[in-house]
Parts: sequence; C-alpha cells; structure tokens
Amino acid sequence: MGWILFGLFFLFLFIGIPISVSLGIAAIVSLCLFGFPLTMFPAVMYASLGKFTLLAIPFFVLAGVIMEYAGISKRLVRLANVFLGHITGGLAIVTVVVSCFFAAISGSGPATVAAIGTILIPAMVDSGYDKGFSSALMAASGNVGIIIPPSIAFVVFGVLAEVSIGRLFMAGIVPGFILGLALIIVSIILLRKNKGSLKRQPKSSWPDKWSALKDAFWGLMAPIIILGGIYGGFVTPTEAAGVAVVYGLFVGFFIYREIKLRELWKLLVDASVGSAVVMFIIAFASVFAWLLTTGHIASSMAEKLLSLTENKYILLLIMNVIFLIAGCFIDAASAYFIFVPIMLPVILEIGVDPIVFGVFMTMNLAIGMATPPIGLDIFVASSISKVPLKDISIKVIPFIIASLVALGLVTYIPALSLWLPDLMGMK
Amino acid sequence: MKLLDYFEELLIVLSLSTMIIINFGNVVSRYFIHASWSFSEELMVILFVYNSFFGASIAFKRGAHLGFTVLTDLLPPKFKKIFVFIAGATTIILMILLAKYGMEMVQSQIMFNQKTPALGLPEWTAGLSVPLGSILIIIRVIQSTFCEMKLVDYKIEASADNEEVQ
Repeated sequence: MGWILFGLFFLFLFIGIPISVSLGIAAIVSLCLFGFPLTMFPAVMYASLGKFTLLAIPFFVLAGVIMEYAGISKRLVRLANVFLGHITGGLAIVTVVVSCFFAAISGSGPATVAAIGTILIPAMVDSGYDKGFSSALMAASGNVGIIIPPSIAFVVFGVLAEVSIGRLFMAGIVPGFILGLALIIVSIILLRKNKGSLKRQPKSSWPDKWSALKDAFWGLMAPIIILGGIYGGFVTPTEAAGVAVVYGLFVGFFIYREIKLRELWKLLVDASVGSAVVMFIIAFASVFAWLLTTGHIASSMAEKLLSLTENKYILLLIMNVIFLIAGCFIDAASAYFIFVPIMLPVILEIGVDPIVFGVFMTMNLAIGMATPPIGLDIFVASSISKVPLKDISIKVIPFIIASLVALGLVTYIPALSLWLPDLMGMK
Repeated sequence: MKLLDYFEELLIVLSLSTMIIINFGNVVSRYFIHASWSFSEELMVILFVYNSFFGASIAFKRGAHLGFTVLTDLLPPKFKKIFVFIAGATTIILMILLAKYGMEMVQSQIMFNQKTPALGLPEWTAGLSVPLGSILIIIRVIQSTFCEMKLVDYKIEASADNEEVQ
C-alpha cells in the first residue's frame, strides 16, 4: 500500500503535474483502491487549512513583500556595506549578513534571494566578482532564510509535529548563524585566488556609518518587534506576523514613504497568491498524511527503519540522506507532511528532541532549495542575474558542501539548537 | 472573464486586509482595554480558507504552482504538449472530485444545521469555500492549459520557421 501511494506520487510528480495535485491524486487513487470512502476528504482538507496558527503564512509572506517595497532591504545593504565593504571579499560577507538579517523579517528563502539579490548581485559583479559566483552565493545565502526565525517552514513543522513554535524559532538562531558563517568562510577561501581583480571600497567615515545606521534604524527594529513580541509573551507567533505587516506598512507609508497607496492592491494579491501556493500544498498533503497514518503505512515504515539498525547516529544519517534527496524534488511543506508522520516516532524512539529534529530536517530542505534540479533559490538567483541555471548549479557546489558540514554539526550536537531556548527557559 | 478576474482579486484583497485589521485590533484591544475579541480567531480562519482557495485559483492562472518540470521540459515540443494536457486534465479531475464531495459536505452541514462555536454562523458559510474554490480553479486550469498548449504550438512553428530559413 505504501509503495502504491509513494509510487503514484512520484510518477505524477515526474511527468510535470504540480506537487499539490500529485499529492492529492495519489492519495485519492489509493483511497479508492483500498476501499476508504471518498466522502471524508474535503473535511480532512478543510480541517488542515482552518488552523489559526497557519495564518502566520500569509502574514509573513505579506510582511516580506512589504518590507521589500518599503525600501528596507536596500537600507540594510547600505548599512552592512559601510561597516564591511572595505574588507577583501567584503561584499560576499555583506550578502550573507544581510540575508541572515532580512530572513529575520521575511521568513522565506526565495523572498530573501529576490529582495537582496536584485541589489547585491549587480553590486558584486561591478566590483569584479564572478557573475556565477555571485549568483551561487546569493542562492545559498537564501537558505539561511528558513532557519533563522521567523520562519514559515518552522510554523508548518510546529503545527504538524505539535511542538512549540516559539521554542522552534529560538532553536533556529544558532544553527542559522553557523550556516551563515560556513558560507562566509567558503567565500573568503574561494575569493583568495582572484584577490587582485576585486575592487575594494574605501573605508567609510564615521559620519557615513552613523547616517547609514540612522537610516536603517526602522528596518533594524522589525525583527526586534517580531521576536521581542513573541518572547516577551505579548503576542503569539501568528499575531506577531500580523503585527509585522502593520509595522511594515507604517514604515513604508510614513517613514520611508516608498510604498504608494495604489501599490497596496498588488501587494495584497501577490502575497495571497504566494501564501495560497503553500496552503494548497498543505491541503492535499494533509490528505496524503491522513492516509499514511490511518492506513498504518507510516508506522510500518517506521518499524522497517528501526529494524535496519538501532544505532542512533546511523539512523540520523539515513534520515539526513533521505531528506536531502527529497529536498531536491519537493518543497518544505510537502516534505513535512510526507516524512514527519513516518520519522517522528523513530525520533522519539531513539531519544532525540523533536525540536532538534525540526531544525535539522529544515536545514536539509533548505539545502535542497539551493540544489538542482528544482532549487527555488537557484531559479530566483538565475532570473535576477541572467546566469544560466547550469552555471549556478556548478558554482554552488562549494557552498553546498559547507552547508552539509554545518548540517552535520547541528544534527549531532543537539546543544547547538537547544542551548538558546533552554537558556531563555522556554518549554 | 474580466469580471471574474476582478471578483477574484477583490475577494482576496478584502479577506487578507480584514484578517490583518482584526488581528491587529485584537492585539491592541487586549493590551489597552484588556478585552480580547472572542470571535476574532474564528472569523479570521474562515476568511483565510477563502483567501487560500481563491489565491490558489490565481496561482493556476499565473502558473505559480510548484512542480517538477525539468524532465518534461527536455522533451520535444510535440510530446511536451501531451504532458501539459495530462497535467491539466489530472488537475481538473481532482478538482471535480473536490467540488462534488465538497458540495456533499456543505449539504450535510445545512441538513444538520451546524453552527460555528463562537460566532454562531451557519457552518456551511465556511464549508462553501471548498466547492466554490474548486469550481473557480477548474475554470482557471482550463484557461491556463489552453494557453500553455498554444505556447508550445507557437514554439513548434517558430522552430519550423528557423529550419526553413537555414
């Protein structure tokens, strides 16, 4: 039964049917074959969509779009640039640092690549960086986006695995920075070879630094309001996402004055479409996951996995390999719905914290976004820089290797994820 | 079709902006007048489901749904056209099933006169989003599949023209 369900799904996926529809059709054909009534499936779908926590998805997507239109991204770039631009390879560092920071507002990888890439890829190329290198670095930096809070991916995982989203968010911070650091180290090593051809910027003066800091202040406040609101106990993560939208609009309309009233319609439609793509996948993936659990497919697969070996480290390695491969073909939301019902019992059995599981699983899927053949981050980077996908795919390899090292650390050292939330006494 | 476009976008813009206003209003009212709006979550969730279905419909129009098209893109245009058709047809079958069983769900909600817990609204006002959204999506998928097949045709013609020139 499991083979039919998964076989059908991948068959439909590979002949070019959208992921959401592939999940739905595979589940429905299996339901019919195994004599389940079809009448329940709209109710399962509606129940999975109608969750208040998931409202964080349209809110964070909209907040990201608004922050970009409000001109926050370019001010962050300028700020990072006056402090880091004079170092060799400075722009590469700026790319990673700003990505980490923007990710702390938007919660999505491709949104980060789109917002920062349009500014930084041309800037790197002007300063003598290789065009392929710049695009690859940008695509890889987008990864950090779904690990550093707030993160849409963590919201979906938290809802599904029934763990605290606030704790997950906190757990993502240190692994996110480790991933960022790994990318910076690789870029500096790679850039050493053609040091001579890189233009360095003159060191900026203190008044320059001060004015950049003042200008970016309102943007810098955004993550403080979002995360401060959540951890101060003022709002839930979902409410914080909605508050971030209002804050972004306030800054965009009244302070930076870069959003025009007539753009608002387009912003709302675009954000709804972006969120609906994820929600549509969640709707059908939930029917798929329902069948996995109700048909006892998940439990028998978990048993099989546990019968292979009882060694915790080998099991974790197997999971990482499965997630990495899956991440190359499917998006994070569907991966959670397919794999969490199977893997979570195994994780609990071998005594790993579900929070750590959420963090390393998300890192795997993030890496998948920057790997061919369907890495969304690569597509966005390629459409910005006009570098062919093939070239970016090759140039991104060193960054992928660095990310894998970071992934290994996070998987096998649970303290990296748990230290910060434990320090804050979060349950 | 123009009217449909407008109706779709209007519903989306209204639902998302109302969600944001209610959410913000609820947070503000909790801290300043120490009163939560008990209806807020329920209303936002209903709007959210409508927003998701109608947004998914526009996403079909824009071809924004994620999929794995690397393999089918490698095929010669003639064969690619077949797979574009299969993808469209499969999506339509799925949505017809969803519309049919969604309608049954709505009928049973009306029959049992179910009400939402906080607002006391009839449950079917929320459930109706499923069949309504499905029908809209069917229209959009027919539209976009025809467009994409025409695009492939155009590519076939263009490559034929190129060969003649050479």
